[in-house]
Amino acid sequence: MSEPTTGPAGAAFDDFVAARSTALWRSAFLLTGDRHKAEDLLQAALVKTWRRWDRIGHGSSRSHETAEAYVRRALATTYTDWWRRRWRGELPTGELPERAGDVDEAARAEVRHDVLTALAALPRGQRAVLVLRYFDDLTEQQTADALGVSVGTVKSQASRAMTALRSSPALTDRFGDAA
Amino acid sequence: MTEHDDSRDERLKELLDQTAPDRPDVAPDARVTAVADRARAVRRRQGIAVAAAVLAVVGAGVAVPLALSGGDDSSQQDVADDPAPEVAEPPACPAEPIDVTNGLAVKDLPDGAVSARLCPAAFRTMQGDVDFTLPTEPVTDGVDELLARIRDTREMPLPAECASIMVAPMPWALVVSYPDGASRTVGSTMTTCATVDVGGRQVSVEDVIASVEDAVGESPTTTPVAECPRPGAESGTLVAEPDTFTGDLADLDVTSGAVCYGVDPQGTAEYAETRGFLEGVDLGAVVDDVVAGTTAARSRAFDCIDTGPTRLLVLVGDRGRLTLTDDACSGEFAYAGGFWVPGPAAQAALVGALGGRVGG
Repeated sequence: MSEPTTGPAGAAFDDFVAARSTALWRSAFLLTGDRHKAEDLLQAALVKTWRRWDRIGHGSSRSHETAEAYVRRALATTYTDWWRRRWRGELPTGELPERAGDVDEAARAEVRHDVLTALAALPRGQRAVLVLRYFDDLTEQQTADALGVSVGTVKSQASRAMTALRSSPALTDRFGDAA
Repeated sequence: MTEHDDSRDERLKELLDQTAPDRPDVAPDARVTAVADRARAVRRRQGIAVAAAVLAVVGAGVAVPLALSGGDDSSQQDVADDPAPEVAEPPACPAEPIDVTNGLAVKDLPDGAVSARLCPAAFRTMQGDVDFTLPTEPVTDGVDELLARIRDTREMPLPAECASIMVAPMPWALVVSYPDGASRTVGSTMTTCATVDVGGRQVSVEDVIASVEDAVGESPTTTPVAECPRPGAESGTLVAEPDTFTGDLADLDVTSGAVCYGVDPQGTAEYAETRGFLEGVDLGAVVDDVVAGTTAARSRAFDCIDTGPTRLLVLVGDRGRLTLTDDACSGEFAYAGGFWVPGPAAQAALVGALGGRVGG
């Protein structure tokens, strides 16, 4: 039995979710490009974590770090699996600004649309590498561990993804200053 | 890393940070509740399955209340304490690629496995730079049938072409997992022109991989994926499978593409791989080019010796499969819709999918 139904284990899981799930949800959003799919993906990953919570070692001093690595791996593998099954034809939603008339939010919505358009054109493996390396700020080794691939594959996928993004019509202007 | 690269990386980080909304719609405590409910629902589904099995054997019993329990925490705790085994999720591929430097033989592959999946592998002389393009989805339905097919694979000599071509390696391993946690692994450094030891018999790696790919493709939850036909047993030539889509390519809504290369004895072109897959922008570039560039008549004459199809482009969409054939050593593809000479971007995608040209 490893599920944290009650007691200290349950409290530790609650603490972990409270502390880290916003960051994890943001990663899931970049993988899926959709708020609801991101929540679905995150919950699926957390279910896997919840069912193995005792084995992950919630009582250790590095419990959150270990659990987060586990969740990130579950996010990535679930994403690549689900992508084939259910999420074909993903299109950027082009969300409206969260507050009408807010110039910053309008600009951010434009960035969001452009970045999601470019991300949607990437093969799922490249997209996952990109999110783990450049958003979650994982090392190449940590990214390789999360995806179950070699460091060499992470390097080549990241390079290809970066090249594709820079040549994406949606992001040409956005990379202009850094090119 | 250069300063230029650092700047580019930082810019990408900024863009990603701006793209991800600051916060989700669901509060953490609500998420914890949802996660717990979903996990319990999984257990209840399994409990129902266990109860059904019990009923089938001994008739009505006390399992029904257990299986259908739910609601308050105490009853869910009962379900959670159910001694039934946990839902058997197929093990993920190992974090570190499996070493197949010397090949991995397997003495036998007995029935009763819960999953089988292809995983990236490595070997000491070429580790690192090989993209792993085989499907890694686990086979969980029909595992025994898959293992039987692998066990029954006939020993056949490798095609004659294998003696004269250079084939790039792609190390792989097939991990077969059993309910007690044990696993058996077979693997090779190559996906073509090589054999692997299964039960003391040297069988073609292509046959083993094709069997797994077929099993993955037969999964009811897997989107159809373009695949290359198996080479003819004797000649090794490419033989396209019949089209299952006959309409306008623009209506196919292509979701997957495969490029297949049959070794040309005349050596007009050689590629690092005998098959590859098209995804994302590469697939889009190829499909767009086919749609825009198809002509009613051939545009290229060919003056080389026709040795049969050298390349196939297999396109799969929700409505079926369509194959284009580079059948006359001219680089022009023919298909039901007409003829097509790849433009520069499409040609680059095709060549890239095959790992690049290595000669010819």
